[in-house]
Amino acid sequence: MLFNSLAFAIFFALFFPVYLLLRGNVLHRNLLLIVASYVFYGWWDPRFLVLVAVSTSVDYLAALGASGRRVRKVDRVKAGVLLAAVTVASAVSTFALNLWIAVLVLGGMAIVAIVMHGIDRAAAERQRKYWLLLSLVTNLGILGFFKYFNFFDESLSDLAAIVGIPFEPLTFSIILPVGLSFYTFQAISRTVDCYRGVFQPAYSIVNYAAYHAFFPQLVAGPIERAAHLMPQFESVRPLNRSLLVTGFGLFLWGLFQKMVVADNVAAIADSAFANPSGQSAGAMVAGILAFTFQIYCDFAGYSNMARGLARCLGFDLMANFNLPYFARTPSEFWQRWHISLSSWLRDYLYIPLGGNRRGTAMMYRNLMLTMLLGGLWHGAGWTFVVWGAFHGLIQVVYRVLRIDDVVARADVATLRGIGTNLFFWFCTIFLVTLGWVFFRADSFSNVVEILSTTFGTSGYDWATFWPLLAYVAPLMVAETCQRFCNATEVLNAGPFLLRYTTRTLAVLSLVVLGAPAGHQFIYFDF
Amino acid sequence: MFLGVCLFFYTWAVAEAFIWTFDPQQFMARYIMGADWGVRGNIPGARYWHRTAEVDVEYRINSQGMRADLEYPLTKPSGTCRVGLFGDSFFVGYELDLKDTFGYRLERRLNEHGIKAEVLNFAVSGFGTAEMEKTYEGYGRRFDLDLVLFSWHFTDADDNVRSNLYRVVKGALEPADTRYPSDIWLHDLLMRSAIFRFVEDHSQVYGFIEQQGLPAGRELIRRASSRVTNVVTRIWGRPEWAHQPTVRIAEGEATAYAKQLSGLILKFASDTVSSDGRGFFVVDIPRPTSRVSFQSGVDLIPPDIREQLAILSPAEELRASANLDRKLYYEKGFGHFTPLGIEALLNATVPSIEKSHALDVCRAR
Repeated sequence: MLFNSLAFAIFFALFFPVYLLLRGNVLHRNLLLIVASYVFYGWWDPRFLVLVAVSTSVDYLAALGASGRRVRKVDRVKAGVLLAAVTVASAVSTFALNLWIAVLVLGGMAIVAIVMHGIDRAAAERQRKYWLLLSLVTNLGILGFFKYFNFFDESLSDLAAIVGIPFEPLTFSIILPVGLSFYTFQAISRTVDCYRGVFQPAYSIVNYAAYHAFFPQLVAGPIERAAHLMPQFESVRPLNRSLLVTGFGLFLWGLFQKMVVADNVAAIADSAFANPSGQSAGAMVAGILAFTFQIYCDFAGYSNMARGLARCLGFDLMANFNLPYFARTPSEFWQRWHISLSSWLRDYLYIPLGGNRRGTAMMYRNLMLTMLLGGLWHGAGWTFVVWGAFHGLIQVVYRVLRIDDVVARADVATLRGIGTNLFFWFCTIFLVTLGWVFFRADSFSNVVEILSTTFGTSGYDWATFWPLLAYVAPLMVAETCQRFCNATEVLNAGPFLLRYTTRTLAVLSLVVLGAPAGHQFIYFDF
Repeated sequence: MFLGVCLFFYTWAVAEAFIWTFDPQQFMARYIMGADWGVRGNIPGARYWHRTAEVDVEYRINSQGMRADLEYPLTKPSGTCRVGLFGDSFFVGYELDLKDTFGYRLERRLNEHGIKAEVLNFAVSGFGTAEMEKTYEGYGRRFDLDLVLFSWHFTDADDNVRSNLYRVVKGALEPADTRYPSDIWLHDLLMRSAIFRFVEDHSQVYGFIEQQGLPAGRELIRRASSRVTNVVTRIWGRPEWAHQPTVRIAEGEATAYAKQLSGLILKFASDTVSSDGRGFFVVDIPRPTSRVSFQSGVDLIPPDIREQLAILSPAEELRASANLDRKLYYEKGFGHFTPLGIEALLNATVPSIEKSHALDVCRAR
């Protein structure tokens, strides 16, 4: 269910009072969170609760093993019971009794049991690695099948056709489970941290299951780190009026970003991208700019709603966006955009590949590989890969030309420094916006069509850009204040009257200007 | 407490400024009250304005609750026929000066054609057929009418179900509630207050809530009750007398029950008026789908009942006089007829009205 839906409002209205009653007891609170999170996720499609349970069960055991702790029989039984219970609930709750789910899961459990038995018999010094491998294979296997099977299958077929080899692609109608890319990455990061000794897992499966399925961040992040979030599930969280009020303020801001900005400018973007060759140059540029703000407000809005909700429950989730469109270099952009993913890629891909420790050429290679895979994470399509490669390339170019250093040294107290910052900010925004064309387009020919439409002077008038500006301008004003007044949460900043006024304006915006037909969150497709 | 009051007014002021800036409302206050015959009526003696992007219109209601600048004695002048209009805001003449309304111009046209007639406007904004019928029975009858005109608009189907003044039981019409709406007393109470009337006429916040908030809320309640009713029906089955929820299908459509109910009410009204010895016409108010295309609401009346009614539809006349540069309906306000639209309506209806035997006694020799 979407955060900006009546179903969620009813869900939360029912959940929250019970949560307040139970939050003083860690076990009861986490059990409630598990049930609520599974109801939340299952509202979309209860069949895919099984995948969440599989990831939870396997990673619960794998993290224990990878950290060097003993994986006891009782732990395996607990994992099995969780998986079995969710499988039964999932199979029964879909009205056409999907018993095949149970059969598949039983088979999977048998395979995992055999693998675990094999790990138990392996040499002690290798067991930790095998447990880690089990987590990686399970999570990446699920991700690979549901997200990338058709993509690789079709790509292989296309390649075979090019070289003249007959290859009939297998056609599966595979639904991409919502949030799969997020929770599998979060599970992997925890297990890797356990393997590295950065984090010590506890034996409570209840605490872990609650962490894994925590509904505010289950379907679209932030991709949390165990060291930051797990301890919060192992203790009673303080909850006071200030947290509730600021949590509500954060949620409200996210709702504004989503419903007032993203959903309204989506119409402009959709119209332009649906028929690029039929647009004037100005209209196409307006459409690209509209998508630039749509994807930002859609995703940042969701993240803020997730953080706001979590704060209302006493939990702290990491900030996922830090005014990315104020970035002056691509590197800075990735330090501000989808921070949880970019830091994940840095810690679990870029650094293990060698980072910048093996010379300049290797650094550039690692950067390109990381961004390529980052692009692929966003979607099973070559346009996403090229988008990732584009971002990798511009980062490499900036490093080669040492632009990051130039920007870092620019003294903002001088006119020259301000000019330097503005110039490189404009360049970065231009490049990032250009990159979004690859992200949004259906195909490379679509990219060419879109970009060629932007060449020209037609359509650059007030009527073309006013609808976009009307929705984006308030956001830009608010974020400029955030950037230069150090107000990280725009609706929670300042004296009482200012906070009251900004919150009132946000509510009014939602009621008066909220898009009549809501759009699904873009990042639900990733 | 003082802080709370200050905060309330501050919030109100912010909201007024916000809505005025970003979504200025058009004021279409309804000066209506509960009438003695169980439905709504215009507030006698009321004077109010409607301001939209296209019009700025004053409404004057006489002491008898009709939109008119004069009073009508119960006994009509000798040699004069009376035509009673029963309808909704289209017949009231919303977004039109009095002299441009259908009733006013119909009277003038009949007189110009040698028929000495008075047109009494009993229409009330928001009426459905059931309320028109109740108004005729409870009030209009007293005025010794010769000819009765009921308007028919596609929204009437929905209104008839919602009012629950009548229902269909085993295929027959049965009276149900005796009063609609049941909460009109609250509106009556509020309308006695000059402050409330000022707010209703000038407040952007009130206008927004009334025009967008309330309909959205009603639609939400309707959908929720529809879902509940569907579940209950699935378990226990639906008794025929249970009034069916009005489920918004598409614009211009109605549920089968709504159509059946409306047809029966129209037939009942026609029979009642005829048994009083009066003539009866149903005047179709088509729905514009563009400046040049119009959808008649007549198709919502069941065919077997349609054949028994005298229906006058201006759909063809509207199509003939329409072009892209001409507005027959207002577009920025509430979608009522423009004076040009009224002209088309008159051209379509007057010939048949003039020929009605109900007006024979008033024709010039």
